[in-house]
Amino acid sequence: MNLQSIKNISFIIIIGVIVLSVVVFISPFTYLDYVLMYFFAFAIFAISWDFLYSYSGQLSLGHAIPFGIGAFTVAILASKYQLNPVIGLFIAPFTASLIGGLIGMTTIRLKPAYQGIALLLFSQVLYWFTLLQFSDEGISFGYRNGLPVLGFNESYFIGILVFIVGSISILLIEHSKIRLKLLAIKQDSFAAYASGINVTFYKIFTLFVSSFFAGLGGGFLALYTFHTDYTIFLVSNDFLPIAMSIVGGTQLLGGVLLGSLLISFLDTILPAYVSLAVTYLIYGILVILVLRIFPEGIKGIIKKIRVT
Amino acid sequence: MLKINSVSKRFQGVIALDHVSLDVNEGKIYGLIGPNGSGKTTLVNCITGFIKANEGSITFGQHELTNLKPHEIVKKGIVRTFQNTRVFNDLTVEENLVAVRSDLTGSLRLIELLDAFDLNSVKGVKASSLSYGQKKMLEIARALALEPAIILLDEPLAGLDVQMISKLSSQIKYINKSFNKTLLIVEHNLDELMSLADYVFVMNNGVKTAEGEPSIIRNSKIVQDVYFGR
Repeated sequence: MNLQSIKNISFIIIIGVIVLSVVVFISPFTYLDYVLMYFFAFAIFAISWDFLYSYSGQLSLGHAIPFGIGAFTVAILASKYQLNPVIGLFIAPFTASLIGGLIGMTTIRLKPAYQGIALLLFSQVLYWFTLLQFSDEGISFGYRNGLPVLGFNESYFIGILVFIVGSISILLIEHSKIRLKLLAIKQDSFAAYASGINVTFYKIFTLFVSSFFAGLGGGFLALYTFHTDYTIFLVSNDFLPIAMSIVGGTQLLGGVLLGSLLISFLDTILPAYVSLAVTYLIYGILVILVLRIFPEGIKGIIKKIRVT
Repeated sequence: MLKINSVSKRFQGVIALDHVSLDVNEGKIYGLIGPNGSGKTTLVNCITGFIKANEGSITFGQHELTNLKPHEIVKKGIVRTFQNTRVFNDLTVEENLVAVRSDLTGSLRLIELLDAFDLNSVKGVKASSLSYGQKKMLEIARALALEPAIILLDEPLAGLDVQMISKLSSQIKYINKSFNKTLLIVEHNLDELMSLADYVFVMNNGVKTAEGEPSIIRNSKIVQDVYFGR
């Protein structure tokens, strides 16, 4: 992909988000605000997972780790240290990157399936740790001295900014000079080593970068809802970015974003009509159908339409 | 140039290499022969850092290679190919080369490499779509793209038809002469290897049993006993 294509995609993302935001903002359906903000947080989360998987072949079944650490960083700094959550949002990706990266480093020599399981277990350790540490109420920080810490319009604007900066940053990294090295590692790390590529370094690099952006998404979710708790480490949050990527189509930013939009919409609307169990059953069926009929997800469907 | 000094490797008590020593000098083509399980590939793995030797040392010029990682050994100038071809299947031919040397993008050197290995017409094709022979060519071109001093080829002629063997043999000679590269070739096709190599090492049961020029090796009784079972 050349520079012009990257510029074009970036332009589409910016215009798309602005149009979407304006439509939602003026819409009489106020719940769409929440759907959009939820989408912003989870889209960054999903593309961070996809970057790790599609560009270095590492499988994280515990990506809620950096996502949750980002959220807890914002919440702890705001509630315990009275720090403005916007400043907390700047710090969150770094703590998520550090902790997520360090945890991930212990798994890089494992085969993808075992790496995934190890990370899933780590995420469940954090689930119990945060439940014991912060009880089931978690951390709320919406008001200080009787006033909200952040206005609705501000958080709306921050959401747009987080989404645009996050997605374009990942797009640029994915299409930088290291792209082919990462893809080579994903396809055959043995051959990549034999070709002089420092496989360990690049695997660690992708872990830290992916955790950074997952932390940004998690941090924003906490900032928007003024709250976080142990449920952010639920197994469902480990699997949501995977479902979003598969449904949209892995290794293509646009596809993952479309998958995130669809599942974010379902994830915020469905529970109002059916139980959470049925909601996840629908996701499961959706993922299986996509894998069976269109293994490339929405990306594949669009390709097929273009051909015909 | 490359000095392997009394290298031993054991796998849970099984001796794969037993105090193997050999010297590789600049600009020549070396052959490494021996029956299956004689330790040839283990030696290549030790030289390239994929396996750590239990004893002995491997030096390349002034550099001690014994404890270096594979990618660090590549940086020192030693590159290998594999017995079963390992190209990056989902990348195009051109991308396979650029992946290991990003500065090749759009360069004259890239065109030279593609031309030298008859890959220019398929440069935009995914490696998975290439024939087995083309994959072998691509793997060697990728090794050459790294501009090494020594290339270790692990059974480059295995699984190729007569026409392709002849073509690849010519390429190996071409690499040696035109690019002034030293080559160490592990090969079972003795006739072809004897015509290619300037010097041959023979291994059996993890021990180097003979070495010399092809004409001497071909007629050596020890070699015929261990290799041809006569």
